[in-house]
Amino acid sequence: MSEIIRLDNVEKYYLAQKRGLVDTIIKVPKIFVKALDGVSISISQGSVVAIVGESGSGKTTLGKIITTLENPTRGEVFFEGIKVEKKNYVEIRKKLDMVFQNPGTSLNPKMKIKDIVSEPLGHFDEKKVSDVINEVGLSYNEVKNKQPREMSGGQVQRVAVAKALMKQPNLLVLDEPTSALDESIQAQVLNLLVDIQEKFKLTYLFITHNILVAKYISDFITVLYAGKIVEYGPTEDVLSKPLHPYTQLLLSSVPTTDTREVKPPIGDVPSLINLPSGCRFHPRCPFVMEVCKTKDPPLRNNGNNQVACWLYE
Amino acid sequence: MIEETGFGSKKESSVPKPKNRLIEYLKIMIKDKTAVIGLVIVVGFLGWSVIQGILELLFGTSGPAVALLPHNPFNYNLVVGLHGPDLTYLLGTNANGEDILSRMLYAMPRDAFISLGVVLSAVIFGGILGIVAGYRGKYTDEIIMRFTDAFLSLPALILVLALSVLFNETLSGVILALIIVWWPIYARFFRAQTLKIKNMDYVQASKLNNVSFLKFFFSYLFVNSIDPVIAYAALDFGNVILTYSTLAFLGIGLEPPIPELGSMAANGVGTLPTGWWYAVFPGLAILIIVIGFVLVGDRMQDIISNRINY
Amino acid sequence: MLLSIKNLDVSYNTVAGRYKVIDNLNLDIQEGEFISLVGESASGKSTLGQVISGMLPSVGKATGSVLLNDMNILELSERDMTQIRGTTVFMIFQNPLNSLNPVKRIGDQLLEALAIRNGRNNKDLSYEESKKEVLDAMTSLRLPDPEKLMIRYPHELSGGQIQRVVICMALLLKPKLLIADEPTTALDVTIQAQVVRLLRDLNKETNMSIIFITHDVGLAYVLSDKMLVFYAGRVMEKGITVDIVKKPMHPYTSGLIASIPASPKKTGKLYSIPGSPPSYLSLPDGCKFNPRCKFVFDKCYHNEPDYVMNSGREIRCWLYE
Repeated sequence: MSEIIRLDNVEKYYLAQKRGLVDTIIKVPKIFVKALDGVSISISQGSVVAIVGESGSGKTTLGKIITTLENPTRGEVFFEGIKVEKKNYVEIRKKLDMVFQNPGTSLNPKMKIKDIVSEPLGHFDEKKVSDVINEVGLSYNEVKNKQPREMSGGQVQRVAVAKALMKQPNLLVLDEPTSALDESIQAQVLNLLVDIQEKFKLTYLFITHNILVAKYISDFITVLYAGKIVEYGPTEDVLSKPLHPYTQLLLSSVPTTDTREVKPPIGDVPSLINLPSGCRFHPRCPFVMEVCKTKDPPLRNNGNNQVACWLYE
Repeated sequence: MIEETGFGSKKESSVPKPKNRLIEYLKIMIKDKTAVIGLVIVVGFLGWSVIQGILELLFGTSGPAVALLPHNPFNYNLVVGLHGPDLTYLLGTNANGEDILSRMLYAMPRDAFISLGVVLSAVIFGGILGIVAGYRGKYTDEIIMRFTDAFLSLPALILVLALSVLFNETLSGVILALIIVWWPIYARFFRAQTLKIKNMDYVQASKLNNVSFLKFFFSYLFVNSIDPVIAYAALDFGNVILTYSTLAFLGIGLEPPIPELGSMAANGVGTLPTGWWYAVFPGLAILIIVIGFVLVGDRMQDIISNRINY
Repeated sequence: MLLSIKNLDVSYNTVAGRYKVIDNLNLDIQEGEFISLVGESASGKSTLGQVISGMLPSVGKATGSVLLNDMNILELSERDMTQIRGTTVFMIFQNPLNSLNPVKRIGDQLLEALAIRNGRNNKDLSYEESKKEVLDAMTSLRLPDPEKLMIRYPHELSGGQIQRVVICMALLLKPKLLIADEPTTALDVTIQAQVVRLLRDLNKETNMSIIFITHDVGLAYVLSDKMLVFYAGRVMEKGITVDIVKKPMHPYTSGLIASIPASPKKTGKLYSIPGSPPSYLSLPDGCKFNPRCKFVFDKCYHNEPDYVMNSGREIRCWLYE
């Protein structure tokens, strides 16, 4: 299977504060929010990769960089082997699309559904539009002239998927597509996403904070913490035998109907401006050692998985 | 401060959204008694202006244009000069014996159309500048906004007067002056809205679809910024009419023999207090029309900014 | 009985029409019980929380009897209600950003809460004693750096920290009943787990009754003794949490639990309840769940089921008559 996306040591820093003219003149040092701090990943065509993390993990930033809506401060992104640069944005954007989390803002509220779905095409082709709308489980004649606000959240997300399908993309980045939906609707949309992926052989980058959803839908799982990948591997392996302490605590925090206990980590997610020295998880890690406080562990192979932790060096 | 996943409440709501927004708005509108009064005034004024206005456009000052009026507003009849209000001349006559009510009714469409033209132009011009400033940000934003601020820092009435005089006090000059004074506030409105929506998901998503510039500008930025603008514009109609009438009162922008509400009031001042109807009724008309727009516009603003619980 | 609700009906009067959001609800809560209200959005669970705390919006009308500490909430004036809020019933909201006064320091707000409780119990404490009690409360909830936290403003805290401060307020106010309306929905899962453990400790150590409103069945399972399952304003199933989750009886409950992803896609499709929740303006006749129920039969379309007791639970379903 060919590689569709590769990131080499990508960093994405945002300015923490707006800098005025005076600041630039007197050379006030720049303060950065380190949203992504050296992320390297390789995704194969046709796979479903879940990006799992909490707030501040950088998962949304990662999604935006992969879809070229943001460009990295340092590091390189390769799409189908070609380096992603401003000059080939247009070409690359034709082959990928993104589905967003909030049904209230993921579609243009003033456009009709049929126009929204036909937008990637450039012109209006009723057959193609109605086909793709039926493909996502909606009735074309019922929804074609509606506006997003007249539809329920689940329907809006289906339209978003239809719009993406219209492009026949190779890669679909989904940023928490079902997080804002009720459970019963979430199940429907997840089933739809699985069907579409298998039918059209798409590659999914599924960003979510919901471990159970990631468990259901993904082949591979990437765990992000404060801007770095801490663990990566086949979903079943990572979820049944998590290696990184953060992954273990993340899993034990999820309330399931198996046990009546949750065991969260102590403390809070660190500030992305003032990251802890060494391993960024060390203040909260139950297995912390001396080396963790001073040196940041690199992401290394461990069998089929990758993990960034001094416990495994 | 790190913001936690603020996806808040679930979206799958069982409460249906009413199909037709206009009907929904009207229903909420009429719940407030004062807004109903405003609505009656505005609809009456605009409705009349459209009908009479079309007649005036087609037929100027001759026959069919005055057919709907109680009397011909240009009928010189010194015999009934400065006649008080009675059954024939409902609001009295002016010094030339022309019926004041007919002259007022003849004058109204001009106010309506000029106001419409000014507000529309201000919205379009201000919209383009405001959206460009808001979307591009950085230097473009600074330059355009300082330009806007310059206009906003000068008192509106003084500026309109100065510009009208500069443009030789013609009607078209006055209209141009009004537009120049009116667009800055709309630029600010549109810029504020654009800043809000430019980071929305659907705007970001459109970048992935290689949408044409015009389509993006209009269907994405303009159309989604316009809601609060419409509410403000409704209120603003009244302001333009007031300013225009004030200029007419001062004798600027007149095109004799066409009557103007403001100039009628000005002419009437000289006949106070005996010929009071000459000054009072046109002035009262301006007052009522402006109040109507203010009531409607105010209610619309309340609805748009969600200050109403419904 | 701390809270006793009988025949509660709640309707909303809006531009779109008048519709009923809660139908004939009955609930008894004793001191120290941990109850969860589970349902999807607009199922009526949040509305119940608002009714009990007297915060129903003006477009809502409630009939029936809601006896809290033997006082009928529905008949109390706003003035009397203000006396009750805080020390008898306290509410934690979903959006942490809206919970605290943005212009007051955390310490001041907590001291204020303590003063309110002391005021109602006619107790008088000096500033030092009050401050000590506040700091103790914060430490017992494992809030980091309590001294520093007291001089901070709410906007300097993260959502999780704010929710913990609000729980600290609850600890100081010692209400008989705490209503938590989806307090962790906007939080990360690890922070959610921390907050959830705090609530459980609060319940166990101070015998505070808690009503936990959520859409997450897993959370309800971890926390609560008893559970109410809401659908379209009706309580479809009510009983002991563990029993309901392990052996759901109502078709909606079993459908809801089955649609929680638990295993990889290759083991099979995720079960999903077909259709979508109904609009309150056009509820179907008979049982409100009938358009989506896979065990539906003729009676379900015509008559709405009443509550029946079955296996120690209350159920509203014709399958169990």
